[in-house]
Amino acid sequence: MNRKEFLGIIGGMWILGFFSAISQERFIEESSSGGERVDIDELKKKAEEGQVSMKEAMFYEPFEEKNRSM
Amino acid sequence: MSLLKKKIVQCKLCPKECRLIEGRRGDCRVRVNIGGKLITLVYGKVCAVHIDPIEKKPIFHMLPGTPIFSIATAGCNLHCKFCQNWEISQVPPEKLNNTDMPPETVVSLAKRYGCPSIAYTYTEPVIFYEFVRDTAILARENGLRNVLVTAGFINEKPLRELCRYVDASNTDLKSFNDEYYRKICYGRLRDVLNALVIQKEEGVLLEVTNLILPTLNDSEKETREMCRWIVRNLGSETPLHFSRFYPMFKMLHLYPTPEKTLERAREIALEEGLKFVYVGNVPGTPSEWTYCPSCKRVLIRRSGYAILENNIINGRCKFCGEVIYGVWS
Repeated sequence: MNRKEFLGIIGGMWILGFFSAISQERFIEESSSGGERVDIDELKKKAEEGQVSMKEAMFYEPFEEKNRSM
Repeated sequence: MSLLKKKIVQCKLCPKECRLIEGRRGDCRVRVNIGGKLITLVYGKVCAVHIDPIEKKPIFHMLPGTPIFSIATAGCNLHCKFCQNWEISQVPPEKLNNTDMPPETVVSLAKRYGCPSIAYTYTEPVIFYEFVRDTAILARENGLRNVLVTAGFINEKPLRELCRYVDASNTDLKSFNDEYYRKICYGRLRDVLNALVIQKEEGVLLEVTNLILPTLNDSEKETREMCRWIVRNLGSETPLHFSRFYPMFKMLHLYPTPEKTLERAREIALEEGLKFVYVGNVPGTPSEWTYCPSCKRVLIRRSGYAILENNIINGRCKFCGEVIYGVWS
């Protein structure tokens, strides 16, 4: 294997990894029941005005792939 | 991959179990992933507050004729196409004018206005869970009772925890058909059935409401199957309300439920052994009165939300002494 071929394989692997990460993120977004994007700065402003709260919820956990939703 | 996963959270409150990357909100619209933490936007942020007759919930078997302090926040984890309160249940909280009302204020106002109980109602108390729980604990400490008016779409663990502080619940059983739940409400039947059984197990005074929509969930077969399930799993003393549908939200093309459909549903429920069956949203009908299951005399005569006559004394029928399911004083 010469240097060009080696760099080509490395480059190809990087591109594959990049698109895999993007598609994984898209899968998670689409498979979630929710997923609407919020403007966090706007929400923090609304919280300062007393319109919304910023209290931590009780029932949640870091997502693990083995936990599948409906 | 690990960098992506790091800030994803999964809500465990309701059976949808939304998985959210940072900066996204759940299906209920009130829970947001901010910095890897799930944040509720509606704790103490009330969008509706009223003092109602307890009959309006409807709760017919607890403290009849008393006022109930009723609160709601924005949002819901179901999206029923017939929702009567869609202007507040189907919008994100920041789009409404909310009033800051922490649990201490709710309890204080309920006491000031002579309400012996607080209802978490209008939208869906499941999605303002933390606010309900803290208010309910404080209400109990102050001698008040707590009532959930809910669709019962909640996971077992949070429900059992909440039931410790809940006295009564009117839970919707919107249909006995899973396809209806999925297509009309964006929910799932089996989770609601589980929630009903759990509330019964936890000793919550349980009443059930079935809103009948013409052509969609009005078959006699479905009604009979539902009633059989209630008798078998919740008990024949469970009050069941058949409620009349009026065109609303995305169901404007349907006509209101004919009264004869509601009366037929009531007949079926009585045939199947249920003792307390009511027709709702039809003012003036004798089918909204409570009858003694033993001697068949009228125990509570109602007109709309008003109590005209109450023949239950110390939890028993005044005429034959039969013990009547409920909390009466």
